[in-house]
Amino acid sequence: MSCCISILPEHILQSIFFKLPIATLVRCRYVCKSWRHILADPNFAKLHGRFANLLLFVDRKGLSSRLSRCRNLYFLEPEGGSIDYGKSLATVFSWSSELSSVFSVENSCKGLLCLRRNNIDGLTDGIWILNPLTGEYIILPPHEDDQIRQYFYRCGLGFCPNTNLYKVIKMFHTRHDKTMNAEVYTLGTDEWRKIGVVPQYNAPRRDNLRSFTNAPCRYNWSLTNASVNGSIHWLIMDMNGPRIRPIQMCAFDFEIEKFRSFGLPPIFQGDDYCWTEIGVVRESLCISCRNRFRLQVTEIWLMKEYGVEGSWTKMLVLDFRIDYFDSLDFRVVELLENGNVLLKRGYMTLFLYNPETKVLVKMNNGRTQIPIPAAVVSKPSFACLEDVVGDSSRVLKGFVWDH
Amino acid sequence: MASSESTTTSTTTKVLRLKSSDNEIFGVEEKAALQSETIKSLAEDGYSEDVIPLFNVEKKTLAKIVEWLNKHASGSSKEELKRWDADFVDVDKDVLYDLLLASNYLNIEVLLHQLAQKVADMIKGKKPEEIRQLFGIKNDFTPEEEAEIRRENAWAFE
Repeated sequence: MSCCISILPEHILQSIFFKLPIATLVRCRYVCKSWRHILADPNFAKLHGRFANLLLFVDRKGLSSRLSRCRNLYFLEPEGGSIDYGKSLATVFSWSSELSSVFSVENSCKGLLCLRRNNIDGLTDGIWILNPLTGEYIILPPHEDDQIRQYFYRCGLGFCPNTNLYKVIKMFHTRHDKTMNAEVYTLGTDEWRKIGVVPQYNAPRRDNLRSFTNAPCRYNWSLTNASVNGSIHWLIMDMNGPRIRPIQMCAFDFEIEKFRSFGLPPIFQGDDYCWTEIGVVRESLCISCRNRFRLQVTEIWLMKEYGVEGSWTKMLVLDFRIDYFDSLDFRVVELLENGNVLLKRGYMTLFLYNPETKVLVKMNNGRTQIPIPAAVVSKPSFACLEDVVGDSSRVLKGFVWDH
Repeated sequence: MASSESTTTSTTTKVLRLKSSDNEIFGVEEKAALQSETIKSLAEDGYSEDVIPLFNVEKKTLAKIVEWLNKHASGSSKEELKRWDADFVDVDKDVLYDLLLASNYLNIEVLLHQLAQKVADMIKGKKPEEIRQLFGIKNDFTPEEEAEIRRENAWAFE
């Protein structure tokens, strides 16, 4: 054939690629070198906003178990790749393994996942950075002190917009010393650097210790995807009152490697709002919180100006007027560009909510009729990890979940 | 030509003459022709009284483009246009590439999106080998590279 699709200039091919679902784009990487090159181009990666975010569902092996490891991991995208979502989700791919599943997903940043690897006893023995779409991954250098490993709690990946560096923070304490220490690792370097004590951290009370280790991100460490402005965010909870209650938001700025904290929206001054999740909506921090007495009511607040406490603005009130007990379980997964809200109920079901019409539509989430306790929103990216770390020898290929 | 009823400089009935690379001249109503940003800027540059030369578009492609421009300026209903567009892009791949290149050169964004969507629909859901066959793309990975990429993401080939 004299006339081939290759005669099309790169930007036309790009505009074709933008219209493809991620599941097909992954296959396009294997068609020929030039297509692979176009997809891996950092400029293409920058235009990600045109793609719908991927939803990553983590099916954990028994929430009540001490080992909250992943059993199955599902990547879902809206059917047809529409950024407004339709009525159903399609599976891009899934990973599953029976016995040797050892990873937990810590967070996602610019298409990369930060994974924590646990050994058979449930102790953390390493941090891996993975691009799930390309299967490329990096194993970070091991911890210098094995003793500390056992009490190693949370880690998270972040991106510095000015220096274009990716860094990982880990925060941990030891069995005897309950001071939470932090270390930072810059991708592409050789070692972890100590950066001091994590402020405002209170070791959990003894009777809370168990639940704390079961679901750490639910309590003191809601790191899940609240990355904006080159910082990662979590909530500081007051564990000492009659109820666990958020009192402050804490941030770690990956660029300057400093902690800072902000006050929460005014509704937290009382005792009415309890269950909270933080996230990012259109480059702003948001917090969703539920009314303790009117359980069907969830409020979503946005920090319009980053770091300015006075800029917390009530963005949305969700009131489903559902009296049955199930309404307890609604969680905000994502706020879409068109103003709709993606919600998760319980471990099973996703809903799309239109705040204007107050219509709640149940979504068909494909074949994942299994418990999905954790949902992470991830931006799809085909960027080469080699470009991220600047050294191909550190990048491993062909990630298989059963490592 | 009828005199202008509007107060603007452009009139609804003025005809622009577009010349293909192989010297065929097409008369197109200005309203239809100006959907192309390229023609618009050429017209603004004073070509509007003469023939507008489109060096990058052959007559067979330009005929199709003119057809599209006329239809999209005809005030058809949304539903009718949708049906018509579906037929319009249902062409051989070679024609599709020519139309893509022409709508890119002429800067007709709506058409470019429709054509890109058509190609995307053809690719959707296919395996790498099927995509290569469909578009006549040569597999330029060496056997070693091929083996490696299959290891990378085995599910993509299933």
